[in-house]
Amino acid sequence: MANRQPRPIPRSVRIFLVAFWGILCAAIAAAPLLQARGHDAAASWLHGIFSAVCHQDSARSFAVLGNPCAVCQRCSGIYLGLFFASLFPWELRLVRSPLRARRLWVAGATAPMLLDVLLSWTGLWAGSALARTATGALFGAMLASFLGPALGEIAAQARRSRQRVGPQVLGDPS
Amino acid sequence: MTQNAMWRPAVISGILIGMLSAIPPFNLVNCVCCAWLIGGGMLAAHMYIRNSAAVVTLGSGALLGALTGAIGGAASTLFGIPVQMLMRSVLAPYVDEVRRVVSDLPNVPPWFMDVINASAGNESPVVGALVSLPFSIVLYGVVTTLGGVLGVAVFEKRKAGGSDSLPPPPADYIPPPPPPPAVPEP
Repeated sequence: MANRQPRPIPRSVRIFLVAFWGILCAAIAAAPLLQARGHDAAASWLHGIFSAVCHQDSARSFAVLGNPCAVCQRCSGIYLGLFFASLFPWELRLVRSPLRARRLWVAGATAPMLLDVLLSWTGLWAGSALARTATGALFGAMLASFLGPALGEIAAQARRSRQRVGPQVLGDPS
Repeated sequence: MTQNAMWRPAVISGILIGMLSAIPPFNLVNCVCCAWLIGGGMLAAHMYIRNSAAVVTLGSGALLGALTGAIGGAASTLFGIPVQMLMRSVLAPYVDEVRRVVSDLPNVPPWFMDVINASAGNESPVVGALVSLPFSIVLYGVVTTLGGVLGVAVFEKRKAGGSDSLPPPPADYIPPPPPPPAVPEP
């Protein structure tokens, strides 16, 4: 595993990633919809799950039918970035790039979000929904650019292991 | 470097994540895009890379991050039990007042009232922790996986396929026995 260059991500891995992040995005939007329909228990359950990873401040969350989503605007941006970036095969060029370029990509995608957080905390800038979502989406896209190749590599390794073990299990003399 | 070597950085980072995510006010740092979780994954990746003779790949970083997150989720739940008990005993006198004030406000979402009621409830924190444990493990695992992958992308300086990377041994490889101890000549 250690000496192999990243390969194109298998279609199954891409489908898994798109489905996974898509379901998470749908769950985030489903919480206010369920609440609007009177399914308070289900909405509370979804809010409870995401409360482990988000402050869920309703003043900084998107509202659907008057009810807040399950995560804040910045987290919504991150999940949307992960979802949309997983749709397209664009990440390998970044992963194969030299360390300096990779670090620049990480810093460049993280800095706007951190700047937005710091300026909001210090009170120098009130921030906006668009800024929180856009900077979060850029950060999410950056994470997706590394996650796809990582899972592709794990899938390829698992396939190689199965191919090695298979004939012995079946008793193949070769 | 085998997957067994992942345990040490994963356990250290996982316990650190669990403590910091459970104890107030340190847990508020997680409000900034799960900073403890992503940072914990990156820390585990950094420790793993530093001790690895071979180039660490993104896939290893993902596995390491997932392991770290699973340990961190369990640790956070465990550390959260005494913290929750303490908070309940301290906040109990104020919760009724807060409940009364909030119930007078217009458009308070029902889930928010649920949170307030739960904070004053008689339900044991251990039961609540056991219910939330699987969700914590999965959610922490997902976010920390991102941190592990990010850590490898940032900290792994060696180039895959370069002279400093070791090829993996074949599946049926058996290491040779160690040489016999040297006998001093008379």
